[in-house]
Amino acid sequence: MREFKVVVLGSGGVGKSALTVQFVSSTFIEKYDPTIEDFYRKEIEVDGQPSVLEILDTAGTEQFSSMRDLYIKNGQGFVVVYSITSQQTFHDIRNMKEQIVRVKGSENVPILLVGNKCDLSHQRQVRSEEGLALAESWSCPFTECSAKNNQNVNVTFAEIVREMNYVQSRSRQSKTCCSLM
Amino acid sequence: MSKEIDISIRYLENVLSTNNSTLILSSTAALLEAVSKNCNTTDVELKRSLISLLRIIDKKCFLNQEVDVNQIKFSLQEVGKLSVKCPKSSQKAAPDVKKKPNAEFRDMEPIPNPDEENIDNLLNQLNLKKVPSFAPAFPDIKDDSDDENGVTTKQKEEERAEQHGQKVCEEEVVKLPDGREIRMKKTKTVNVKQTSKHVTISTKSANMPEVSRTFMNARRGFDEDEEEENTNFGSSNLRSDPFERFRSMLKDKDEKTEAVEGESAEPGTPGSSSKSKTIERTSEVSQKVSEKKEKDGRLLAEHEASKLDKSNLFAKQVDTYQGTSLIDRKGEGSYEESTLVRNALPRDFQVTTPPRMHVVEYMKMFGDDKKNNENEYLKGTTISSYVRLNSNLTTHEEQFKKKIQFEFSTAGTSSTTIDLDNLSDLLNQTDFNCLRPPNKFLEEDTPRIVELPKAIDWQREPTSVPPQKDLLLEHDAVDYVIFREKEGKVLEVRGGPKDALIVYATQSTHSSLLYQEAFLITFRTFISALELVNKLIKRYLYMSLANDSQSESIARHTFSVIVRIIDEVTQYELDFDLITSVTSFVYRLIHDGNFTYSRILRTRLLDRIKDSFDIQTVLGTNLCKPKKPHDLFDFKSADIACQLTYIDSQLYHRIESAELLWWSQEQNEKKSKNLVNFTEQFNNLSFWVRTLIITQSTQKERERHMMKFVKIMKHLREMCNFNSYLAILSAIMSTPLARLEWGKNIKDALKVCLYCSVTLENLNFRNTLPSWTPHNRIKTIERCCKPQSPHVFHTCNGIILQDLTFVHAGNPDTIPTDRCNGAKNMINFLKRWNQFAILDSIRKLKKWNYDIKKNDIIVQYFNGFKDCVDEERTWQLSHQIKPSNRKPKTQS
Repeated sequence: MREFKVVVLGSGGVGKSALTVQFVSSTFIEKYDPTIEDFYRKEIEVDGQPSVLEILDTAGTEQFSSMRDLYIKNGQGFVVVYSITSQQTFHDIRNMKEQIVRVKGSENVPILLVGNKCDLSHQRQVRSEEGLALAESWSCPFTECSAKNNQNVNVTFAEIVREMNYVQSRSRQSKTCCSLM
Repeated sequence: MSKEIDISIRYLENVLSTNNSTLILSSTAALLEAVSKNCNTTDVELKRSLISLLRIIDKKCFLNQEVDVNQIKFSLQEVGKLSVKCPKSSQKAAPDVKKKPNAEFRDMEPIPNPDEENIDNLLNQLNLKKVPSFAPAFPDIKDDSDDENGVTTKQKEEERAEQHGQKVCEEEVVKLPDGREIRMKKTKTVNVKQTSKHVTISTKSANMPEVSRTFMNARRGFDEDEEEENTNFGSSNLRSDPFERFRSMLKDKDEKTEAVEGESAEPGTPGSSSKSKTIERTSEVSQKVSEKKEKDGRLLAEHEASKLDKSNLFAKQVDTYQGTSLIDRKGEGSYEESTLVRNALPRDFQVTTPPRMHVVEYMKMFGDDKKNNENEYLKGTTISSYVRLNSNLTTHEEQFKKKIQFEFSTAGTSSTTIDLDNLSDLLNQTDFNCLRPPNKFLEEDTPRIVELPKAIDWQREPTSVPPQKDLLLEHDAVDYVIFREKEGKVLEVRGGPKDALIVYATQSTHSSLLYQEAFLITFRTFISALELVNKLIKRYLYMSLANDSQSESIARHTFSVIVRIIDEVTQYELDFDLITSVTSFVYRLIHDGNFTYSRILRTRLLDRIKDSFDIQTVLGTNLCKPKKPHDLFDFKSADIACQLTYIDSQLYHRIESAELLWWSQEQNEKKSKNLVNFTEQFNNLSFWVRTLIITQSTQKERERHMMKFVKIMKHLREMCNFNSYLAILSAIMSTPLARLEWGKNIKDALKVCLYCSVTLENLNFRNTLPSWTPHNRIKTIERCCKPQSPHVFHTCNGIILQDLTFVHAGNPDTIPTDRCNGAKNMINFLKRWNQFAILDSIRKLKKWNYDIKKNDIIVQYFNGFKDCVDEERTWQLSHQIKPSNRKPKTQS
């Protein structure tokens, strides 16, 4: 089975951990213990093809900014999260794509932009259009979701798997192209 | 006036002019102690004057408000005058002791037995440890020659020498009514010596089976010495073998009983007498093992290891008698034990100052006794430390030290231990299926009135009885708590209303110490410290007014919980309201005549307030700027690593578990200030290292700097400081540096670093390093933190923060209403058990400390790690050195 490492990035308080917990445990469970083994791995089937996702979640350690490089280096796909209820968190991630690209040394990085907490629409500070515009400039998919209501959570992770599949097959193609030339 | 009071008043007067809060507060504490010792503390006037003095001083020093110094001086004089008027009456029993049937009963009892047990029991608990025989494992020496015919001899020598000494000193002072004093002193010393030597020689040659010869030699001896001065009474006939007596302390009692009987033989004496007993015990066991292997007379290998165990005990107990009744008993003492293991080849014993790691475990205990005796307490602290000195591969030295200090009063020597073994079992449960619903439900005060808690003046009598049923005034809240149940057996607390959980943590019956610990560590997730302290004070005051023994025991428990909370309160929580609540409670205690409690609480509060922290004490120096600025190569790598570790441990120890809990919930930099300091240090160090390397103008210089940091990392790893290790690793593996070309030696060194960080189970961050697999980290940390293990994981903040964040995100704060008959606001305590388990692991880690002195020159060189360029600039420099392949069009 294929294995992917997905890094979840974003400022503190945007609900990254809730997103991961929701995805990994599929229901908003009543008892959750992250200290047990394998809690961050989950099998997911996308377009009929099963694969294993290993989630590298930076939640709680956002302050260790000097570690971000190492996180990024180790990931294959990136879920960049902001909260639609906070303009600041949206602002914080504006340069994230450039950072990832710089560290990975390649333009072809699977990225997904996610606006979380869409259940709190009455507190919305970031319009959907703004998110969409940023995603377009990054040329990556965009989605709004709610970890609390389990809305769009699985879709989000399925999408990043698609992106990773796509980028991998393209880089393989380009490699074979190069060797032909 | 008592001399003690006089001195403390005069001292306080002098100190007032210095305007130094700390000095004023500590001398006030001294005065309070002097008054409570020497005055009749039931006098209303005196108490009132003391309270008003404390009020002004607290206002000035705790709350930093303007006060008139003359007012303080005036109250001080008032206290002085009144204390003269109310000396401690010698005819009454100690005023602190409330009359109760038990006390009278005690008066009638013959003195010796129940009391004598006190000190001896204690000593028995601290009895000299049995030193196990020392058997170091030496590497097996392989015979590398092909010669099969030679004769190999192996000689093993074991030497063991024990030396024990004990000195018991008993002194009795009887004050006769006519002012004369009779002193009796008795000293007894016992010395025991014992040596043994074993030698084993095995010979082996090609065609012969192994032959062993053993030689044994043992010697033992003891001497005893007894001295008596002015003995008025009783013979000193020795009973049985003194060596035997030494072995078990309690045997001594026979003789003592006689002594006491001798004293009570003069019953008519109306005066007061005091009896003190001092015990000093030392013990030393040294063991040496050496092994030598020879082949045909040619020395193949030689090993030697030695171990020295030392212990030292000192205990003192003073009893004060009025006639024949014991009115007061106090004692104190310390016990120290140390072990030194040295493993070395003989001859090269002398090594240059080895790099050392020093770890200290510090533990506090506050007496927590369940007996229903008035004013009894046992307090103690233990400190243990483990040091490992490493000079090279063949020599190392380990030191282990433990020190216990204790004091006690009246008749209580129970000690508490917390059983943490159940904790992991407890966390293994997975569901809600086996909840035992509470027997009774209480309408929790739902946030009808959202009101911030305020300081409460506890000196005022409670004005009215609350109309609602108030759990805080119940003896037992067990009926309101939700438990987990399995096969009809009640297991641990699963949740319940806030007040029920509070009451359950303070009741003396049906509650477990483990629960109390978990409550104390995690209560901030559902109640603020101020609100909790206010509730507990309310409970204490209510219980202390009752006259039954159960209420009194609950009051004592509640008080000890209050002390624990104050002991661990964070700087952020120590605001005006909390200080006011606590100080007014102190006044109330004085008003009620409970000087002991008021003093304990006030001292704790003072300690916490004094404990503010300025990061400059760690990162700053008072040195002038050096004429020629230092550079990295002016210092040894080991010294730099030491200083980094010093800074880390200083900052790390400031972090409170409350800060970590708060951070996982709301990431408030003000609340978690020490945590933020620590994180910043990590980042600053990383960027400082990047800067130093990348700003060098030549490849050669960059590589030289890189190698220096690799060396520093090696030392950090030896010290088990994985925090700075990782900070530097994150710098040299950061892409701006890693993308540059490096020589082969650097690449190899980096590979080793990376390999080490993986194999050493770096617990700092999950998933940052390749081939990381998740571990059950808490277990791993615990395993690694046993004093026997040299691997001390200094920090593991990253992982702790992550775990706490996920526990918070993944578990509801309250139990879903459909799980508990529709009751709302039932705190989900399982979530708190989880948090406790994580925090408890860090608490254990925090006990370790490094014994490193600050080196001002190096710290000054660090300059707070401020001289660094930002990430953007690092990239620019990196691209200048090696241009990017990428088209730079994507600047957003």
